[in-house]
Amino acid sequence: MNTMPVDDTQEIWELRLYTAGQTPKSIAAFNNLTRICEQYLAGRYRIEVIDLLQNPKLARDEQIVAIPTLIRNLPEPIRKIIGDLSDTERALVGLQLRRADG
Amino acid sequence: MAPAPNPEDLKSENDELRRRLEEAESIVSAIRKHEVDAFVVQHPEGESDVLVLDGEERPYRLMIERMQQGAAVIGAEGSIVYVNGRLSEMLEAPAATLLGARFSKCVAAAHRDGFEDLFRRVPRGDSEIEVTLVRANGTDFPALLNLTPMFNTDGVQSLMVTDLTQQKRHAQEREHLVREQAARAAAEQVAEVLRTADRRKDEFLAMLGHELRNPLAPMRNALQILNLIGSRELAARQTREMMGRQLEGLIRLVDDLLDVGRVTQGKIELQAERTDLRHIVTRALESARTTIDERGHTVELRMAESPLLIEGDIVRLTQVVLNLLNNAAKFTPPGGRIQVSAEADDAAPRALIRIRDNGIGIEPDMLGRVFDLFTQADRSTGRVEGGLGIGLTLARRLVEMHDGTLDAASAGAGQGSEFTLRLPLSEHAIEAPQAHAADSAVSKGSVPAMRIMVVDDNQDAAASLTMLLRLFGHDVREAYDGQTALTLLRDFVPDLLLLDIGLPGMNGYEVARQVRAVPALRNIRLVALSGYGSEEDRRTSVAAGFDAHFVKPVEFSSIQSLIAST
Repeated sequence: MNTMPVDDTQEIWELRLYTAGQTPKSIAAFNNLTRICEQYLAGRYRIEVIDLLQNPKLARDEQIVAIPTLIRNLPEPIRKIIGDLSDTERALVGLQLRRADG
Repeated sequence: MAPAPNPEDLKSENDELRRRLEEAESIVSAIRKHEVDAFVVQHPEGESDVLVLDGEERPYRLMIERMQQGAAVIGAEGSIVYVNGRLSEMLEAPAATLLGARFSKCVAAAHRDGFEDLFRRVPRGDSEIEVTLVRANGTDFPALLNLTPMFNTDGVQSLMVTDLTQQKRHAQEREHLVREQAARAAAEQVAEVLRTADRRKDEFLAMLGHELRNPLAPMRNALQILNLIGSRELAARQTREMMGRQLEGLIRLVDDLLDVGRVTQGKIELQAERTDLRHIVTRALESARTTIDERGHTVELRMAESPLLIEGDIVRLTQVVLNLLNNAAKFTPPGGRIQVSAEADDAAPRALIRIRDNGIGIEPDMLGRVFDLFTQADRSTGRVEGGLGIGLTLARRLVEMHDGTLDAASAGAGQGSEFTLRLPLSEHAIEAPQAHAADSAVSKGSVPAMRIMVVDDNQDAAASLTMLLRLFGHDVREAYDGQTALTLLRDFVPDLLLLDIGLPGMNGYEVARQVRAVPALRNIRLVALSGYGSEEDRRTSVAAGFDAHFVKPVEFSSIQSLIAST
């Protein structure tokens, strides 16, 4: 398995996690995201949590359908990962922190 | 016919479609794997809403939002995943700024390591820790944290926060209360000890006064005898005069000592009558004359021309003025000047007596204390005459009993002192007062001889009085106890019976009652000689059958006056 991070710049990652209050999957997504970031992006990431239960209108811009959803705003291109990030491999691929095998 | 599509456009359209498909597939995949539990739904009007799949949890969520404890979910990395409204209130920070932050940042630095240790151990069951939490504005409060690992989540823990501010305050108040009660109890104990000590001191002073006074009566009598029959030589006369002065000083001192004890205990009763304050000043000056002359002082007297009528106890007020005069004489170096004035204060209906000297004066820091019991200014250098420091205390208390005031003033050491006595003037100043200066000097042989019996267990007192009375030509018998006296009375019926109250065995009251029970003894004049002179003592004497009540040591002139009136 290739464990070499793809990203090797010092750019700050801007991540935005859309949640629905404290549903188990929202909590799990946040927990998984911080774990991954600490491991791969320690010190150079910023997570913004947007609770759509509080403000559903914010779903429109990014056309969020399912919750939780993670958006990588920076580095470009924008990436969208749906789900609680419990499948770490898939999350890493989605964030382009690892190349998809095959 | 549509134009042939541009290959570039086709490519980009294809990419977009592919991206959308991927997203759709990933949504479906996430749903199938149950990685999502909420959806954004679009209403026809364009409003969007969030549909949460776990709808049955809503009531619990509501309760958690509303409860009085803070609640949070902390991710495995220690960041806040969720906070309820109460915790956000406690920390005075909006949920948005708390989410994602490390909870340990809210824990005071001193407790941070303890909290993180506990958190990292991922306890199996509940664990709790008391810490100080820091609000967004930097203030802090005590809190109890409960950590519980959350079911089915890796390292995620739920946190309950209880604000302990109230609890601590109550505990503190309780502790404060307990401590206060203990302090009060201790103070009460100390006060009781002091009260007991104070009472013992008063009792001791009273006893001391009596013990000192008892020998004074025979000494006074003996001196009178020597005056009548002693040597006429100059040296002998001067010695007797000196002894007389010293004895009178000693008697005054003992009287003051007894009086100050009585005043303190509220046992002095004033014999108030209307009198002219000018006579009191004159009487006091006469009594103080010896001391003043001895020290070579000159006295300047300024007296009001009209009477200064007051309601007061002549004996006590004379005592006050005498104390002030003696004080002035005592604390002024020989050859000093003492100014005495007695006037009406025009501003108020009251009399003013001023006694000013040019003596050693009073230091400013002592001014407030000169009236305190046993206080004497400048003991080290100014000890001209000594004394017990009770005269001024007694004087002020006696004046206060007359609704008056007594104040001291001095410009400082060596600047002399001035004492000002103020007494309310009597409201009905109509009649001119009677002069009270009764002539106390009754000369030898001016009264007819009488039959007299003296009963006193102080044999010296009885013997000296007997001898003195015999020198005046009276027929005198003496006895030292009541039973002997009653036996003597069968053969010797006196005109006057001077009877001590504090006799051993049968006391003076009992002797008086028995005397009064015998018809043959009915005409005897019964006089009580007592160490006590309160109203109650006098009433008891009258009830027992006494005709008069004298307080010891009795001045011989009083007995002479009594004989003259019998």
